Amino acid sequence: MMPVRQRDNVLHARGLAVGYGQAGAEGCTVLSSVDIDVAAGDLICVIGPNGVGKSTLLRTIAGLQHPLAGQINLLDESLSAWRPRERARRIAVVLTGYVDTGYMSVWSMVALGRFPYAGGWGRLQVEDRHKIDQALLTVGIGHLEGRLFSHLSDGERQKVLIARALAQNPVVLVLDEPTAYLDVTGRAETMHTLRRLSLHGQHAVVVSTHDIELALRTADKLWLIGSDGSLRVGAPEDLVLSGEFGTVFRTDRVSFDAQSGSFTVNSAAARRATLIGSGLAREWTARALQRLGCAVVETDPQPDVRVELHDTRRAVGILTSGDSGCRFGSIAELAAALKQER
Amino acid sequence: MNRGVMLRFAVQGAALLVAVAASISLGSVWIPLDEVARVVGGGEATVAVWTTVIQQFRVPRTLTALLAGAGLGVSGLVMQTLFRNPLAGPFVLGISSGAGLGVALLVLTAGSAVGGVFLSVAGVFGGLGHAGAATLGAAAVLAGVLLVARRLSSMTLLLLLGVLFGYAANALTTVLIHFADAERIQSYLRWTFGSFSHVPVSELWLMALLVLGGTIVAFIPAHSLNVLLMGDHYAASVGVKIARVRFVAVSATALLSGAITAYCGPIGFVGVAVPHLARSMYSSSDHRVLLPATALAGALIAVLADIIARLPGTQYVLPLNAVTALFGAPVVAWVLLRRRPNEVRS
Repeated sequence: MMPVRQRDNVLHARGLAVGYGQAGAEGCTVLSSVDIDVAAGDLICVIGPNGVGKSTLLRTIAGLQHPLAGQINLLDESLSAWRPRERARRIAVVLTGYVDTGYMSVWSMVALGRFPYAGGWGRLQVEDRHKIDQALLTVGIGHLEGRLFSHLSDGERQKVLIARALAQNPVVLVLDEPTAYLDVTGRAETMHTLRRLSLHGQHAVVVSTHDIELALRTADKLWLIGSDGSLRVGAPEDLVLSGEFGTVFRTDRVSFDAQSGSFTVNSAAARRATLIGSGLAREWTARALQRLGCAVVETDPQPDVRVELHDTRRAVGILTSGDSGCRFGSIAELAAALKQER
Repeated sequence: MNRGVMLRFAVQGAALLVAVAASISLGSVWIPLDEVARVVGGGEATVAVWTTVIQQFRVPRTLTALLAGAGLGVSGLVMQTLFRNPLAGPFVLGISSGAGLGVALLVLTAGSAVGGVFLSVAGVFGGLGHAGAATLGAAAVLAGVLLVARRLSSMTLLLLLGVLFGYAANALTTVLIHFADAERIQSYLRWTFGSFSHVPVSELWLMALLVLGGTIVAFIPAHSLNVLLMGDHYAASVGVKIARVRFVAVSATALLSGAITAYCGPIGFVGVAVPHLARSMYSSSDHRVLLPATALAGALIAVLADIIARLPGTQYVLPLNAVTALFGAPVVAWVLLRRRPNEVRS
C-alpha cells in the first residue's frame, strides 16, 4: 500500500464495491473492498485479465455508474454529491466502443467537451474556443480539425477522443483501453501523450490497458486486478519485485518473466541447452532456444545441446548435440538443425 | 453558424416560398399568382369563387401541409438521435398505431354498442370524427409511452415496446376490419391514405398550436442531443441529464406525431426520410442546425407532395401517402447517394 499524501489527493475511494444490479446482491459484485487514491500528476494504469471489472471500476469512479458500496470522494466531496455539470468539469472520460457521430468534424467533436461550461444552447465563448484549440494541439492533431471524425483512422480517432476529454479541462482523466485497436506506434504515442499530460501535474490520469509491458514502463502506479477480484496497488517495479505481478497473470500456458519484463509462453522444455556467447546475439538466440523448447541453463556438464556463438551481433556459430555438430549462419538454420536433431 | 449554413437556409426558405405559392395557385382550377397574392393580401379575386377556393381550401390545406411536414421532420430527427437508429421515425413509439386503432374503433364499429360508447367519449374531446378518435387513440398511447419512458433505463426496450404495441394495435384493427362492412372499411382506408385537406378551418389554430408547441419542446434539448450522438455514457460524463432529455424528446415527439396523425392521418415516409435529407444537405450532425433544417425540408416535401397528390388540372386526387413515398423515395435516395463529403469545417 502506497503512503497517501492527503494534500495531493484528487480522488479517493474507501471500501468500494463495484458491479451491477442492486447493492448487496452478491452475484453482481465484480470488485469489493477496494481502497484507491489518485493524486494530481499520477499516471495510473489499471491492468488485469479480461473480465475482472476494469471497465466497471473506471465507470464507477467516473460517476457513470453507482457504486454498490463504499465511498468515493472527488476533491474532498462525495462524488455523487457533485452536480453533473460541475462533476464534468473535473472528471472526463474516454470510453471503449465505437463512436459514430455522422457528419461531425473533429473540431466540433472536441467542442462537445465544452458542454459543462456552455449555456443551454451551447454557444461557444472565446475561452471555449481557446480551450478546444489547445486540446487539439496538446494531443497533436491540430491539422485534423477540419476533417470528419468518421473518416479518421483508429489511432486518430483515439486522439480526438482524448482531446475532447481534455477540452473538459478535467482534474482526473479516466480512459478505458485507449490503446486497443491501435498499432504499436499508436499505442506508444497514446501512452506518451498521457504521460505528458500527467507530468505537467494538471491532470491525474487513470487508464486501463492490456498493454502490460508499456504500462510497466510508463505508469507511476499500477492498479493490478486479479481474477480473484483482489486489487493490488503499487509502483510497477515494486509489484514485479514482490512477485505479485507474476501471480496475477500466471496461467498454465503463459507466465511473466521478471528478468525481461515480458510474458513467455510456457513450453515444456524437452531439452537443456547451454549457450555460450554475448551481446545482442546471445539475447535473441536465448529467446529462439526457449521458443524451440530448450531450457537455457548457465552451466551443465551434460547438456542435451550446446550452442556456441561466434559473433555478438549475428547469430552465427556451432550447434553440438551429443557426438554430432553443425554450423549455423542464422536463427532459421539453428532452428532447422534443432528440429533435425529431434 | 457559418455562411454555408446560412446560405442553405436561405435557399431552402426561398424554395419553400415558391412551393407555397404554387400550392395555393395549383389545383383542380388554376389561379394566377397575382390573384393569389391579392387574396392572400386580404383582397378579392376577380373571379368570386377563387376567393372562396383560396380562403376556404387552398390556404388551410397548405398551412396544414407546412405544419405536418415540419412537425414530422423534427420528431423524426429527435427519435433517430434518441434511439441512435437511422430507421427510427415519429411513429416508432406506436402513436400512429394507437391513433389508427382509435379511428378504426370509431369508423368500423359505428352503430354497434362499443362504437356508441366510444363515440360519446370521443365527443367530449370536441371535433367529433376522425380527428377526435385519433386524438383519443394517440393520447392513450402517449400517456403509456411517457409513463414507461420514465421507468425504463433502456431506450432499446422502449423502442421494442413501441413496435410490439404497434403490432398489437394493428392486429386489433385487422380484426375490426375483418368484421366490418365494405363501406366502413373504405372510410377507414381513406383515413390511412393521409390527407392535408381534412382539417377544418376552425380547428387549424389548434393544430398549429400543438405543432408549434411540440417543435419548441423539441428544440430545448438540441445541444444535449449533439452529445447524445456519442452515446449515453459520454453524454452523462459531460453532465447531460439523460433521463430529462429523453422525457423532453419523447414528449415533443408524442405531441407532434399525435397531433399530426389526428388531423392528417398516418403520414409515412416524411418523418424517417427528411432528417437524412437535412443531414446530407447541410453536412452536419449539429441539432441546432438540423432541427430548423428538418422543419424546413419536411414542410417543403409535404407541400410538394400535396401539390402532386391533387393532380393539378384534373378532378382526381392521389392518396397522399402513396405520393410521399413514390416521389420522395427516389429524391432522397438521389441526395444520399450523390453526397460523399470528405471535408467539412464547422
